[in-house]
Amino acid sequence: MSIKNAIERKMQMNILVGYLILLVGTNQALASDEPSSALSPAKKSTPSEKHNAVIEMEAVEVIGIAEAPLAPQQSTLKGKALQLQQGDTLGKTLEQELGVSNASFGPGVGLPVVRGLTGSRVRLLQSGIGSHDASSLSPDHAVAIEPLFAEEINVLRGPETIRYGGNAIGGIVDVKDNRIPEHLPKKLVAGALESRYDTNGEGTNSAFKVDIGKEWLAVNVAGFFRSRRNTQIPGQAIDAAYIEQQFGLSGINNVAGTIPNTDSESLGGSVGLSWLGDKGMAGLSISHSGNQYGVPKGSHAIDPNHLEGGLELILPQIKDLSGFEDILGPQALFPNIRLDMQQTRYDFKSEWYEPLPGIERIGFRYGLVDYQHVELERGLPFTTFKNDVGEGRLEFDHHALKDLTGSVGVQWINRDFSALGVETYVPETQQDSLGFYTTQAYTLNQFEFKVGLRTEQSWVNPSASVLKLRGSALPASPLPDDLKFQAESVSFAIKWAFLEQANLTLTLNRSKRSPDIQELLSLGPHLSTRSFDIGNVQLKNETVNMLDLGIDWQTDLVGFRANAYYNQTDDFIYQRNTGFVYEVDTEVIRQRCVSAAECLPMYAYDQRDATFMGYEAEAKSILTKLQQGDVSLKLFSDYVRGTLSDGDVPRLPPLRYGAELGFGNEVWNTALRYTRSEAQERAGLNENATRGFDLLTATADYQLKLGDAVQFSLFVKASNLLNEEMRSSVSFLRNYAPEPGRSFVFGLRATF
Amino acid sequence: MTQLLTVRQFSQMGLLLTVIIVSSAVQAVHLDVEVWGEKDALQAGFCHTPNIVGCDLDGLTSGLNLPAGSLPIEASTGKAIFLADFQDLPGGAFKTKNPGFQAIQNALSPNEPISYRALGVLKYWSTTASAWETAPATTRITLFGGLDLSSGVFNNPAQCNGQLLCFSDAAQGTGKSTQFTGAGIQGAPELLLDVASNQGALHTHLNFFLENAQGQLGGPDGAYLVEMQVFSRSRSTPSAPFLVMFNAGLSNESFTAALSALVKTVSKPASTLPIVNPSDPALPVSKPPITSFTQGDADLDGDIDRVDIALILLAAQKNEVALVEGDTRDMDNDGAISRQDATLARAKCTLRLCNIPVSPLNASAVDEPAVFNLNTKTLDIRDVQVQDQHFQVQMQLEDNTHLRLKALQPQTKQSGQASEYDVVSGELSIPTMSADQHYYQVRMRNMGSFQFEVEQVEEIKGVSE
Repeated sequence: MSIKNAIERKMQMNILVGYLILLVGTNQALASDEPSSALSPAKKSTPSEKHNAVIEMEAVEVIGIAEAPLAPQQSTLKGKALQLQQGDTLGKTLEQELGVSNASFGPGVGLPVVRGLTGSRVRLLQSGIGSHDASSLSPDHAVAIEPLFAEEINVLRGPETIRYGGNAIGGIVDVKDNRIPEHLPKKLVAGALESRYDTNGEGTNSAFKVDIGKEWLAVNVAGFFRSRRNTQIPGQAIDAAYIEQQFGLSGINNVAGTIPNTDSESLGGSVGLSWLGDKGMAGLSISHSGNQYGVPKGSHAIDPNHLEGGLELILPQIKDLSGFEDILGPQALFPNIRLDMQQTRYDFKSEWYEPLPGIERIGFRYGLVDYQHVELERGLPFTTFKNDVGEGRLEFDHHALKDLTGSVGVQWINRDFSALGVETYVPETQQDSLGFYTTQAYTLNQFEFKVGLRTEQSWVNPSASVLKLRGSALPASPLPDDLKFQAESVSFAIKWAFLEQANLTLTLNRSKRSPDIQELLSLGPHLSTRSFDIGNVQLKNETVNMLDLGIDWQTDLVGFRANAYYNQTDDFIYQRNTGFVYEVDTEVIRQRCVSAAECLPMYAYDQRDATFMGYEAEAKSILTKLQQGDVSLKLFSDYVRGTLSDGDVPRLPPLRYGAELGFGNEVWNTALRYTRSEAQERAGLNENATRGFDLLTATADYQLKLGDAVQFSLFVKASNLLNEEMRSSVSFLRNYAPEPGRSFVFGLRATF
Repeated sequence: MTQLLTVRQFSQMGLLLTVIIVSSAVQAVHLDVEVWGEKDALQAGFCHTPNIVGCDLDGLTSGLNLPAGSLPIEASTGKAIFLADFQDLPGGAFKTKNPGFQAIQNALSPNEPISYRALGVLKYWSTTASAWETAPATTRITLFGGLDLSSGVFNNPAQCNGQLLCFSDAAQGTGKSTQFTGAGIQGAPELLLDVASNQGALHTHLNFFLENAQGQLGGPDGAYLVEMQVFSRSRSTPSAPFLVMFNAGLSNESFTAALSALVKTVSKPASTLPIVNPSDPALPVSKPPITSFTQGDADLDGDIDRVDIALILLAAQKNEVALVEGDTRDMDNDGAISRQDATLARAKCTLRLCNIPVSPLNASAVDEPAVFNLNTKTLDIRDVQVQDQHFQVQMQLEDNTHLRLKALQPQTKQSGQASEYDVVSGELSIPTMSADQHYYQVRMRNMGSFQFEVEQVEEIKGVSE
């Protein structure tokens, strides 16, 4: 396909997608329209809409292109589905996607967990460039990607992840936000406004987007504001039975009906500018976001009888603490932990279409991320995490032969990381990586072959030559000057379209991940995970050997998609319990501790083979077509089981299954969704089992068009209608902060 | 002066202990073991100095129905008996961290390792027998000592298969715990208690577990008695042996009966108190001068923290007067302990969660004595010596000649190029400060309100990175 043809097809698709959007009446707002997956049935125009003069395209043909089946290992969330699922965090937004769970740490933090993997094994991207926050370092660090900006979120597992490096061995989550405009708006000025209100925690979310463009210039301006109070829950925040069983503590500091210190506030905006030419484009954007949130109190603050130095004995005798509440009052004794996160990004993107015969595109992408978050106790900063990263990618897409297409690229990352202050358990470190990769696709009749290759070199350089354990009489640990890793990855996939509407995909993947900074260099207490972490500078690459078999079958009335996978990971990096404990207050290492709440188990990073296996499955059917609309039913389930040689991998999601009943048309839609999460009995070493729970949600939306200039979308989402106490097995803080209770979200979106 | 300060330190220590005793009445009665050095010997006891107001043990004795003025001392041997309760923590019926071990500032040498030695056999007293006898073979008390960092912990990755910290084989397993049994001591008879601070202070709590012979928590109700002593490898004479008596589910009355069975033939007097030496303990040569006690350090543990503020507030509530001249609680030296003293002490608090603004310090200064960042206009000083204490300091440039103290944290890793702060003159001398690949010698002066004025900046020639 020539570049001219490609552009024409792209333009045609844009027009047709726009047409499709017109049909469903939501136009391009903060998110493009539908579907959440390839299972969504093709849209059909209503008779009245056929009178629209704009309708002049070959609708059937176009819809077919727009809704081409996705790879079985890929899911896309956009349009109305994204609008209805959008939550305060990326993990919350994606928690209904197959194979994806939300690792919460209170409502302010939500990391997507893909097939049981997260952190350093799942790359979180913002339009193709990493989020580069501190979320891979610790589960209490939020992702610095604001879901409100998202226009489309892709969750990808399979050969394409090879473009993104070793940290994508568990998959990628790419949030596309169109901050750098890639096409002109349909009129000189277009945009959208959205506001929503959540009854749980009185949450308010507001966002706007304005696109201005003419001829070769396009500008995008966007902003958002999000605020919420403490999350409301059924029952008590802390699982008292667990605390009694685990720590032998009763009479703990506990609160019912709410999770204290879970309020948050977030504000951000971006400006993007693009030159759009026939032969190429270039654009840049500057964005800034701030997020202030609290994390629920963990075990270190649950025992009212435990204070340092015998204060618990002295304070009850003091009758008047006035003037000294700031150091001896309740808030001072059990202070809240707050995080103040700031991120500024500078993104640049350039594409050159068909610069040479056989070369379809040369793409250049670079992002400069200045990330910082300060952890505060009683308003005083005690640790500052900084991550200054530059990530670039240069890519050549070719169409060398009629049936052979592919990409060759180079990707590089330069990262300066530091965590300075009281909880400095990782030294200031520079990390650089350089990767070369290629992905090629060849089509032969009913078969499509894909192969990916990548080689990556990375260097980790701690700035300090020694690392001292705070408060310890131990001499400082010597650190190596330079750690170097070489990782090669290869993937192969074959897709067989055994029917016109069905295909079978087999993927073989052998990918390597180099150890991350905290796995190599951490040393010290880590209160958020209730652990004392010991890094290991001799860690080797972790190697994933994945076999994934997927089937995708779509007809007008029925759709079915399923994957089954087996993942044998060699040298899986995990935290081995040394059997020793660290007494936090006295900063002393002991063999055993009287009060487990005051001591942290000491974990050393180590490697051991691990096995993951699981599946994702989804079936959808239109049950009946009524005059008012279609009645549809969707059934879904996912499961993952992970084992180390001596037990289960901790914090994996349980078996999940459910059904969604939908009823609606292009103007309005309703859905009732039931999800059953079974108990997670295979909790893993040093973890406790979690109970099963039922989650019932309902959604409704209505599209209202006022002339040609403005159209409105009204939506409502009711979550956790049964008001169940839900403690998610993937959450580090599940015993201290359950998932939110019943909530109703009301939203209004206006596009112009 | 030395004598005066010694009296002061012990009187104040006694005050702290009294606070703990009285407060403990609602919980378990216990008293930490006080440890101190005397020349080449280590000592341990209740209350080092007699006839001092702060050393009133009435609360303890009255709670146990002992004869007025008497102390829990074993009649037959004169050994001090420290009391603890396995049920002093909610939910944990068979484990306790008490008694703890305390040494006030300068009572020990800086960084002096202190160990315990288990002695004798485990004794048991039940309500049915109403007599002390050897504990049954099915019951034991296990004590986990601290890890000896010199032999039990490695922190060289080359020794640890790459780990930044690892433990020797000897540090693992039951070899690093002590079992008190009816047949004698099993496991390790000697283990590390803790290492004294740079100021020669120590406060630690070990972990005692009541178990059956298989190591499972639990045991019959009753009172248990173990014997131990403390010693230091840098002193030739260990402390006199002392006893620890544990309550395991007995009523206060029964526990008192068990204690009375040990102390019944003894009554007071103060002059017979154990391990009491009214004279000034001779200090090891390596000790820092005793004049380094800090005003505001009410518990004399070498720092000013929230415990000190609370102790001063409590003393003010009781309208206490300064015990001696220079009482560390009497910040304004007016002879009375008042809330004003607490306010002044708070202003001197050097630890987190006190009054001094604390912000993260720049670790880039770790390898440099002092670094001035031209971009952020911050000065990071790795090691500032203030008398015998060391701090890591961060300052922010306000104008061309003034810097404001932004952060202050205790520095445990001292260097050979420490900057020096003179508390009398307020002068801060920085021998080497790097800025933009040049090196300078800097002198500045404390103008109050955390503000410093630069008096001299002189480039050091011939030094390059």
